[in-house]
Amino acid sequence: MRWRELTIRHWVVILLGSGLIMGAAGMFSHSPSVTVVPEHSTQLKLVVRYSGQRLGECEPLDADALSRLPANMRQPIVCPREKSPLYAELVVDGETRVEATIAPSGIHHDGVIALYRELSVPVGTVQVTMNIRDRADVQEFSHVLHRKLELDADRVVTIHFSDDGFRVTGA
Amino acid sequence: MSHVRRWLPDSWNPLYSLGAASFYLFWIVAASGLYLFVFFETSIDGAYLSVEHITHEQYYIGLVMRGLHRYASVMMAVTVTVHLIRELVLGRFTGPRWFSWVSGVPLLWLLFASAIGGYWLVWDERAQYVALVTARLFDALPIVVEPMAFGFIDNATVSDRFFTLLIFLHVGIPLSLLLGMFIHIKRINNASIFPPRQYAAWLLACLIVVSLAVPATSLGPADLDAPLRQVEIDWFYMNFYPLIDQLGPTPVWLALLGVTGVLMALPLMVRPKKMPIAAVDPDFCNGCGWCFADCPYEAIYMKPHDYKPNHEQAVVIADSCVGCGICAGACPSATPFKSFNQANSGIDLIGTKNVDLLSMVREDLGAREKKGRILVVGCHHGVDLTRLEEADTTTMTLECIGQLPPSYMDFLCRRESLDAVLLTGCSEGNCFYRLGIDLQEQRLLRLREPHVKFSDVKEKIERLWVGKGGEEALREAIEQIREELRSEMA
Repeated sequence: MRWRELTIRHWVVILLGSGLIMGAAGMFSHSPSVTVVPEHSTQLKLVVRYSGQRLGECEPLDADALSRLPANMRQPIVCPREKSPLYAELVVDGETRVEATIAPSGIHHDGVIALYRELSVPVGTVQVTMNIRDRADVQEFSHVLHRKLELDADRVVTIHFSDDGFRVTGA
Repeated sequence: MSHVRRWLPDSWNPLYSLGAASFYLFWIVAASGLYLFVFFETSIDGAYLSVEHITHEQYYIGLVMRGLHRYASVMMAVTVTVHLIRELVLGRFTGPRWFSWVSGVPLLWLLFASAIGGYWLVWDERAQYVALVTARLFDALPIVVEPMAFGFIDNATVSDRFFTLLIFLHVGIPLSLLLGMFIHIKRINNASIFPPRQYAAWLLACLIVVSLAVPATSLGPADLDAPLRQVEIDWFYMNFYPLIDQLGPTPVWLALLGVTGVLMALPLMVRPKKMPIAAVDPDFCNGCGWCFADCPYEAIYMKPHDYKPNHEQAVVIADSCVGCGICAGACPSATPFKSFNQANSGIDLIGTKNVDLLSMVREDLGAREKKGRILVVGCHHGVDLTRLEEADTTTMTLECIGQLPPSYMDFLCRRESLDAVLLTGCSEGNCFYRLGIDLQEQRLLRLREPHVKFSDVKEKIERLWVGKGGEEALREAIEQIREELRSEMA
């Protein structure tokens, strides 16, 4: 159909339809907005990157056992490959906000232990406790962070846990 | 004229060119993206600042190009989604159409990945939101060793190299999408990949207007050291992102994979109605290849004839044949003027041969008055023609209007003294078998073989493509033909 064959009725529908569709495209491509972190709160990030503890103890090999091994594999101490899962809990002002048991990565569970969490916490002074247990066969926590943090509305606070222990940034 | 056509011409009906519009929008996105790429800087600070420069300091050119890039992408999400829903509702996903359906579903993933990658590149607060939520989504996968979110802990963890990777993905994924789109239409003959010109021009004009009226702008620069408060998101592409925040990534993954799985499995779950497919009769196939050229689903190929030397012969691929009968309408051997082969076609539908339909029409015409006789030919997907039959009007219903050999009209008008033929079927641009109306139009206009031979016969043929809701319009057209015939006879 050519332009001049379009009637007024056609033009009314085309203009209304186009206005409606393009209006919707213009509006819903950037609104309504979503709230990520509410007012009077800030974001607390928890970053765990830990090598982990092996599940069993390393054992020395005697001369007879060593001689049965190929030459390139004769190491005097043999360690188990699998690592223990890590238990982590984060308590903010007495409320447990994160509680997770993280298995080491890899098919044989011999890789790095990694965890990332984001949570909203009210600004101001908060008491934060983070407990880590890196051996499943031990009841006590291996690493504990107990600290009072001053949380600013404009700053993200991050609690890092790695082989070097705890580190807090942004507070 | 159907109710919709009265208000909107078929060539302007967006529902009739959803696939073609998607292709067209892709090229707009690609062209505008190429422009933006020239000025884009792949670094942490450069990404945001270069996009700001394009948007605000290029005398509206950059603003319009960015707007076209965004709004053509948005419209593509709309056309692709409606295309999927429409094909689903019309049942066009089973039988030989399974390939187009199954190859189309993964394109949704590529389309969304392309668009979300684009929002990421700008590195504003929206990009920050996309980065954090996308990381959360992917970190839920059990194969992830180290969380993707570790790359976005704070400003120090993001590197310039990350933007090089992003731009690579933002070019690579759309190229994969384009490849997928061509695979999607691979088994379709004469696939429409460009919408009608006026509609295309109007669509481009609308996109330019919306680019100026609601400019595509960035939010504040991304700052991973500060909490995100309110973020304006694109609900066409990021509609499931708030769900990741609310429900967690696992239910969202299950929903996305579940919907994809169900869509992919639909052709297996719904068995198509068994349609008679086409079969070749080597005795009457002269190897002209017209059926091969006309088949809308590439269900025919040519091979050396079984026993006629230096001849070719058509072969029907049973798994691809939808049983539209368009091939039978294209066969020149079907001409009833040749008495030696009794109008036998070289290719025809099994069980419902054209020649039998012709015999029935001839028999019916013989029992009617000799003057003012009208034949209405339609298809099973249009108006029920039996309701239009009257003393002077006989009807013929085919699987598709393209199934009608033009020689039948020549023959009936010349030998059976038929006074008028009215062709109808689906509405224009919405043929159930895609090409039936277009091919028949070209045959009538002598633009395509086989065509109507006699000029006086051509004058007797009227067409009215009105679809299912067009009964009233057909009645009006028949009445008008009657009036004309009466005045001619007077």
